[in-house]
Amino acid sequence: MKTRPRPTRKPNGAKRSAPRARVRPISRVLIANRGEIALRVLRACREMGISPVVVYSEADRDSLPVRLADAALCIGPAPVRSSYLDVDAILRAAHEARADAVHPGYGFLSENPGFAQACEDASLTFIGPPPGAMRLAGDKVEARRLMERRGVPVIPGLLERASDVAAIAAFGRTNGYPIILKAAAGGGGKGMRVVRAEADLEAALRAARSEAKASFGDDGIYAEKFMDNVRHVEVQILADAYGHAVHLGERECSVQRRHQKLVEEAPSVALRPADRERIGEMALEVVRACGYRNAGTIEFLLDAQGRPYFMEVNARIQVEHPVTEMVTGVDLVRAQIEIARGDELGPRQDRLQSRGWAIECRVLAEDSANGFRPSPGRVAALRLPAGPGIRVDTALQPGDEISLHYDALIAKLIAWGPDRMQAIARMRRALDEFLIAGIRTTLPFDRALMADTDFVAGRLDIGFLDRALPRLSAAFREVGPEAEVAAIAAAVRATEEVLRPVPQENGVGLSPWVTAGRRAQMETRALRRTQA
Amino acid sequence: MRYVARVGEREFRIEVAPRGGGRFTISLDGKTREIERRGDGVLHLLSIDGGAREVTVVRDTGGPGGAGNGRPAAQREAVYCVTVAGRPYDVRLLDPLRCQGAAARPAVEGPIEVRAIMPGKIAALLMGEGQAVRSGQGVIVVEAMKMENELAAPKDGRITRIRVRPGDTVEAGAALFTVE
Repeated sequence: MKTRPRPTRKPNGAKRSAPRARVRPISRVLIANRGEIALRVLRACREMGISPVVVYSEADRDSLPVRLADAALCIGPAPVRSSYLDVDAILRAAHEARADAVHPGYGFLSENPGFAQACEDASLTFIGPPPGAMRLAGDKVEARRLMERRGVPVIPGLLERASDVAAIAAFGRTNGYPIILKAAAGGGGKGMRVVRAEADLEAALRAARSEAKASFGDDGIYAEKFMDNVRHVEVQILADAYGHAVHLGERECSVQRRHQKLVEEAPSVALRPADRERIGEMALEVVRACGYRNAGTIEFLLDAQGRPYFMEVNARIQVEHPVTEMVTGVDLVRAQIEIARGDELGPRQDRLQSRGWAIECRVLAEDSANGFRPSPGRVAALRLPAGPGIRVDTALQPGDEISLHYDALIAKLIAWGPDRMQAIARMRRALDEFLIAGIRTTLPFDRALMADTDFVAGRLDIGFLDRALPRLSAAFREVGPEAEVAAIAAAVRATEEVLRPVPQENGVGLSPWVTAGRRAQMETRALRRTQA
Repeated sequence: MRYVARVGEREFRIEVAPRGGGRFTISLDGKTREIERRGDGVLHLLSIDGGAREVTVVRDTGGPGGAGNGRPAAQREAVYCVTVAGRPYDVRLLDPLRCQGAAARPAVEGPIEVRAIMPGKIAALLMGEGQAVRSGQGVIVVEAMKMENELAAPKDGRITRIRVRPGDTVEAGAALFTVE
């Protein structure tokens, strides 16, 4: 990427409209997000000599992004509606911090065209797509219609928001079950429900509507034919303000639980070079159709024969962007900022090459041994893995409180290797080094997955995890070989808790030895009573 | 100090005698060993029989999401979340002073109260009072973190009481239903 536009270069015979008019220097970026993605953006800013400022909720006041930023402004209490989703509070903070640009990260306001517009209206450069393209990409129903007109294959579906159950039931009867309900305004798996029979439709629609309303403030739902046995493959694209666009290859995201991606990789074992070119070209057609600019992702489903179907456009930087960065060497967040300030796109399509293999495990504060239920709490100890080919994107610090107010993603572990097997070997090694105490995480699940025969063979589709979970949980629920050591460790800790002198009100505690001696006598009596 | 420790299906009888300076004499199922604990805080090294194992020990305070939920209060043991070489183990420690009169093995008899593991909103009731349930069967759907979660019966039995209605907002720890 060049730091300045070079108006003399005219690749592909593209016509240039005075590029300098679109140059908007950026010197201070307000990061309207939290956690690992806030830190990721902050790092890109630092490397570009741009001053990063962050906003934070009261729950995040000691977080790593707050500590590392040039300035940090509190925008409200922990609940997202009164902080990270509060447009006015964020714009006020941007003004106060004298920022000239806003990076929304992912989630929160990142795909809210109203927010993008409000930034532009306040003379702040929004680091993302223009509001119009975002509106189009965000309306899943409108986007599908447009693609169909452009000759991009789409999955059979309702071409409008469903007004009531009857409309969807009619669609189900015509196309056959299963069908999938999706939030018209949504993404990230929220508001999605697979319906396998008409009898389940009403309950599923109600659940999808309430989730969509809670996540996006819009309970619009549409329906698509649900395809089993398909892969979720997506293409990363970059497009600048001068009509140039490139694709950076695909990501395989088929390992999903309840439509939430858990593990992603680049490239996909399912694509041959010719398929890659074709799906990349298809993604660029989508970009042109929407007038898209900045970084984005075009999601496809790949059927068993390898035929791609357009699914949707994600108008933001994605959680799984690091796997693309690892194999292409392109810094996507840096590219976002460069495009937003009016630089010309640096990488040419014919120079972009994918090298090796990268895999990402999302580490969630969820108890994988107990139905992935949320596991809030305090991070009592933390050791991050490192070494060859390993990247960890996380804002986690020992002592951090994991709150139920926010997404459960606490870290992303990315492993790169010259080929898929070496990437897996590095991932296994890194997972063994990774230590988080105080909360339950999905690390045991990730370890079991990396040892799974089907995963290792790359036999993946979006139903893979549902089928594999029973055998995976058997692996990670099994009591490990060192139960005895664990029991001793707990007993030693319990003993030390007893021995710790308890301060009395006058400041003088009983000697721990006295406490221990009295206790031993009481135990003996208690045991005798129990046995009697 | 004497404990009965349960890890999964396994049970150990442990006696811990502190020797000072992080040293302990342990008697485990009758076998005596010398242990040294090095390092402060949660993460430390446990030197056992000459080999050092890296362990973390965190007491589960029974808060939201903890392993202590859904068990009868009278038999609640101390639960420690332990990792050895990065692998997690849930250790349930029975302290003889706290289970006087109770059998050492916790039975799943009597009523069990299920509480909310996190703040949320009641999205739906799947069962009604008086209905028979099997262990693992969903009873209440709670919406939290923008996702709906089913709360299941902790054992076979009958639902004797449901304390919430759809639309209610509940705090973590709030009693939701009782299975007997």
